[in-house]
Amino acid sequence: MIDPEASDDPTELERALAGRPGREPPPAFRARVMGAVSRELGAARRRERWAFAARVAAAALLWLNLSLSATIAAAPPLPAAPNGRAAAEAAEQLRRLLPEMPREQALAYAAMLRVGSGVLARPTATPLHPPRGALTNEPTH
Amino acid sequence: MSRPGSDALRRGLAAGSEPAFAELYDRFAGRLFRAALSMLGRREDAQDAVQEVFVAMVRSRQKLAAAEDIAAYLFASLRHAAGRLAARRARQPAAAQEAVADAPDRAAPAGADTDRLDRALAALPPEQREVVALKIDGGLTFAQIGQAVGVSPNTAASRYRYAIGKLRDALKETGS
Repeated sequence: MIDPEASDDPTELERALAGRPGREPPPAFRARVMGAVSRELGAARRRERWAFAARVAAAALLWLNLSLSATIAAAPPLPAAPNGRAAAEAAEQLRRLLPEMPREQALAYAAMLRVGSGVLARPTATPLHPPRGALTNEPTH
Repeated sequence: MSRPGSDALRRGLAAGSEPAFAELYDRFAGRLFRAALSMLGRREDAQDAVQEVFVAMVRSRQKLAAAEDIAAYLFASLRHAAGRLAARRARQPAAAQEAVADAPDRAAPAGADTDRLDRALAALPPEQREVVALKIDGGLTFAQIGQAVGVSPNTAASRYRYAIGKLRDALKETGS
């Protein structure tokens, strides 16, 4: 029996509060909470995997973008507009080969051919072996 | 300085290991449940609040593992969960709220003293009731209560003293 008049010491009241019966969680509660924890852990792992995949995809896109930018920056500049006289000469050559081709069409083809030839990659040819007579580090016998 | 809560448990929690969460449950669920019951008055609500705490701990497991005091961190989370549930209850019809206040929920039949205590506790202002719940049911120190509630240890102790005084007065009135 709680006797609040007994003393000002709160110990008895604290003991009575702590000793109230029927204040334990039901036995099935552990399984319920651990089930919720397990589901949440699974969801968290899935979220983390997606976040990782998104980071990888973003990094790949960035790398691709930078590579393209670098390639474009390093590419040789486009050739200037075709030289009018050279195009006219080429058109004349075309018309000699195909006399039935109208002059305007031959000029257009000639201009396109000249532009195309400028866009094509022109690798710099480096000889595998130095030309005869060039200085090398190879021993001479 | 060593922090309360073993390093192995902290590592397990940070890694999202289920056995670590099972250990956390075994260590704290009883205390959390009793504190939630004192704060909310209904077993069903107390169970919801404790489950909410464990799910929240999975989401913030890195913070939990790095917390200075795991117990204070858990009970702070319980306090928030209980606050949300109480707010939900407050939006329910008045009849349901009266039912909660009039009949404290328990698993076993209670004596007259226990009923008087429950009613006196339910009549306390929420900030005093939670301090009593954290001290008596949670077994926290005033420093931990201060951490969980966001006040100084002295304020927590003073709230507790007021609450105990009010409980004693209420018991005198109902006992006479």
